[in-house]
Amino acid sequence: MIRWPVDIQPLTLLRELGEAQQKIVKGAQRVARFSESELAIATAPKDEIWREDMVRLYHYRPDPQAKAPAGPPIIVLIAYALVGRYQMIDLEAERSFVRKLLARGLHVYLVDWGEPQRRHRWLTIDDYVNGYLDGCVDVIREREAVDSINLIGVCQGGVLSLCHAALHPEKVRNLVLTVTPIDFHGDKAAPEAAGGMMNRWARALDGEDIDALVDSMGNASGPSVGHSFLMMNPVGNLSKYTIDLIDLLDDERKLLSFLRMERWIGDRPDAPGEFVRQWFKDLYQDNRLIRNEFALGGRSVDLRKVTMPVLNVSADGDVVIPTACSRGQGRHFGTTDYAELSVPGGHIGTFVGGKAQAVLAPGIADWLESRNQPKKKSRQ
Amino acid sequence: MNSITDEIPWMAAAERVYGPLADAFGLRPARDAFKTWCELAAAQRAECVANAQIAGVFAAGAFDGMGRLAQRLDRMRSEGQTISSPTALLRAGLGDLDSAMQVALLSEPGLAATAASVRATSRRRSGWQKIAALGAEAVGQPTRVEVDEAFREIQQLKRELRELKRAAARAGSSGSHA
Repeated sequence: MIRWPVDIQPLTLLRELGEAQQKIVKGAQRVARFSESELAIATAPKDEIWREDMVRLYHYRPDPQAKAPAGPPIIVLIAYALVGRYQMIDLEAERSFVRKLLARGLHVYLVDWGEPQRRHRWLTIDDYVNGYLDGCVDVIREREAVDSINLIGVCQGGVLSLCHAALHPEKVRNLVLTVTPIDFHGDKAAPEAAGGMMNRWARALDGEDIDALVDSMGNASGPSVGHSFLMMNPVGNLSKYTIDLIDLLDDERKLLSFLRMERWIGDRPDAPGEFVRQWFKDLYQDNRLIRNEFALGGRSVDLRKVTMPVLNVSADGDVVIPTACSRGQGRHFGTTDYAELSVPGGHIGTFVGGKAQAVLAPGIADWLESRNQPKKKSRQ
Repeated sequence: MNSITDEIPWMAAAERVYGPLADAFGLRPARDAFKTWCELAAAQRAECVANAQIAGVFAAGAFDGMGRLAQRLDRMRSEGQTISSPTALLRAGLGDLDSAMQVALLSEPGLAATAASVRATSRRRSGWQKIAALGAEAVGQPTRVEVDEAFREIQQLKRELRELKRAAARAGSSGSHA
């Protein structure tokens, strides 16, 4: 008979249950006491300056304490992914990527993709790149009287930014890609134990499955996308909402961060069906982007036309976008000025993790500042 | 994909012999509804099978997780360690279950089960949409497909308008330069 090395005394069990019960009671009271303003996310002040359909372009108000960088203003447009809301990059004041860029004196714009409705189900990646994103870039170029701006793309937004830079290189001064999949089959050569689940799920389906999925769903609903993310780590999520949560309950700051994050997680917009079809078939399944075979609006997205400086940021522990899909892609671009930045943490931790916060915004701001040469638009 | 009426010989025969006659008596909607309900039943059956496959994958993951926990405890015993806290035991168990579940979900059967689930869910959803479309047609309402087709045309027109605006802007800009 095996003797297990477990020696749990009834008194120990009762004591730990009692402690957990006390934490839960006090934690529940604490959660109920938080005001809505304490739970608010994405509070950096900003103004809407342009709108088309459900897409909005925001300009963040400058940080009055910030010292302007040497040279002309550094104008950046941030494009977040469609599968989540942009609030992640400004989740809370002390963990805000946006505020850190503003504190460095950058002029920050952000495109909010909004909440696609049923009538938007036919929107394609072309509509996002050559329509909305290009529209935002033009509005900023006109407003700031410059020929080109800096693009910062996040995950899916990175792919959109990359496509835009390849199709309109004259409008992009510097390109920053963060946790962006570029080689969608990169994980095949370097499979990670718990990473790339979405890549493998997508490849386990065939083109007809994706067609049937999109045709029957119309738009990919936000909850269904959220469910997919939960299923990437079912046991981890079980722990998160039970045993790990109990540990947070007596730490007010951590509890607030948890609740703010939950607000963000629960607010997933639907994704347009045609966008999803292209995303899975052309990119996840056929890996067309890296082969310069991805076409938008009748034009091929040729990565060799990405001739502006590129900074590619990846997260060491990213299981959503395996690092093999994002790192080491410089040889595919036409630029000679390609750099990479690794940040600690996971996919979302890149923007909210304590260690990543110390690296990400300063790293991007330094990189942009070092390439900030005078180049004003000549108006006629 | 064959429907149930195609798969059952006597139904297929009846369909071929009496189907056109039934249509002539205006029974086409009823026949379509029957066929669609049969398809829906098949789709729901496939979804049940897919869910059972997924449950099997989870069960395999859970079983493997238990095995990993047993190995961990055996290792601890040989090293003379003891767990005296229920929370610590729970955490160890969840940690082992987590890694085992990841392996199970990413295994060939795991991926196949997920794909089967996606296929079956799409088929079931599509079946209900066909039922709804038959109802909409019966009361003279536009169907989902018709509404979507209108949205598609609007989107195509918006796309063309965008291109025209671009072309006009380019023409204006080259004109002002000239």
